[in-house]
Amino acid sequence: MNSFTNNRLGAYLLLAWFAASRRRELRRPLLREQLQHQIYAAGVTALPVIAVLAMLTGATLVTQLAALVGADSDLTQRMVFLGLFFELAPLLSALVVVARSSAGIASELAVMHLHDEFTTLRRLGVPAADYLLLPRVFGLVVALPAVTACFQAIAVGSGWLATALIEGRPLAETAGRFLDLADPWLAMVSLLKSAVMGAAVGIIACHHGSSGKGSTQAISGAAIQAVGGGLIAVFVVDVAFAALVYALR
Amino acid sequence: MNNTLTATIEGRRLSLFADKRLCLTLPLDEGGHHRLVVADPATAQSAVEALERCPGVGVMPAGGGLLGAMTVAENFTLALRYDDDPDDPRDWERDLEAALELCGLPAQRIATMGRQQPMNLERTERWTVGFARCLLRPPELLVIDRLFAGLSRREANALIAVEAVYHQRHPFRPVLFVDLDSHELPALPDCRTLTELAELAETAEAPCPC
Repeated sequence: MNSFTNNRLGAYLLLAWFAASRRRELRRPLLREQLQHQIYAAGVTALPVIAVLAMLTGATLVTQLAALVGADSDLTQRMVFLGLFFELAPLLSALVVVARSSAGIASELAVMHLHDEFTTLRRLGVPAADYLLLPRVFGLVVALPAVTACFQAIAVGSGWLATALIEGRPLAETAGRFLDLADPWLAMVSLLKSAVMGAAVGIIACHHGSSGKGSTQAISGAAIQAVGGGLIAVFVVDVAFAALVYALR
Repeated sequence: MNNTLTATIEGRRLSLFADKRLCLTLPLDEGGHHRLVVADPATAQSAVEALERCPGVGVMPAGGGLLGAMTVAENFTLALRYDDDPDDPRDWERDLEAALELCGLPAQRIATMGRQQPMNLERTERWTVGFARCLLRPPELLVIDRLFAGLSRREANALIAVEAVYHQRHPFRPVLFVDLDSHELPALPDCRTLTELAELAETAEAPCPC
């Protein structure tokens, strides 16, 4: 079990080191096109799901908090900021991206592996690892913070709207109070956390997609392992950031 | 065949070893056709893999070396423009059309082929596309991996004709045909060396056929 965990962790770290050391390759026009394609696939196409989820989460959370501690309480605004903006928004965004993109990336790479297309790419004179892995990993590093920012804006906006409707207060007043209590440094940390989550999800998906056996069963196996590993990684990163913020305060 | 095959390039000469015993040498600057005949697909695979590890060696597999998920045009874009300098004014599209025409494809077919996926092309068209790519970016040594396997005589002749275009255009770049041992291997024009790796496997002590 130990060697299994070590091997897998070692492979993830190796891939992370590879991606970091080869990032300059993304300056190539063809790799930039691939990067844009991955950002679109992981980020832009996830926005409808994110918008609905954020709207419902924001409205539900604020309504419940208003019922518990009162809508005009500072505690409500702090909990909206720390609970919804800092914790739930990056976490739920990452879960949506894991569910959609992680399985997609892993199975796409596993199919290519099955058809020996990594060798074909090499024969075309294209380094397969650069062409396939870098845009996918960095695509998620860019897409997940962007998706998280959208989630945060929509969730908090719907929370303000819910408060305004329930309590009959002006929207600007609720918003102003929230912004007074919001910590810009923590807002930046939440986006950094999303970027780290994106990197972890991308690395795990690429590893399982490209390292399985070349068989049809390996395709579903890669997708399952990528989603499972991605979920664990997202929670580990979340806990690590929570501990870091707690320690720094 | 359990021999371990390795290949090295020293000077301008490629050497292929089976269990550290030299069995094939090829000069890389004299051009010409060479043939390596092997007993089974596993040996062919390991020979091609060994050769491919050497820098400057290009391999033409039976499918023409194209990615199935992309169109023919996208395959070409990827292969020809990956290392391209964005400021390089070279017009790859025009060069490519000229190369495909040189390989014998009619202009009408060239116009429609770009949008198709490789699996929708005929077998002879896939090689033609592969050879056109090699015409524009010729490797030091072109290894043709078992392309004659399962071909009719007409298809085999078509392949030899397309390869002749490559040879004409790059006369000093050698071509190595890796073929499976069969009764009906078509003769290659101007074939300079013929190495049969099967003999080496059966009689380990036998002298190298080359």
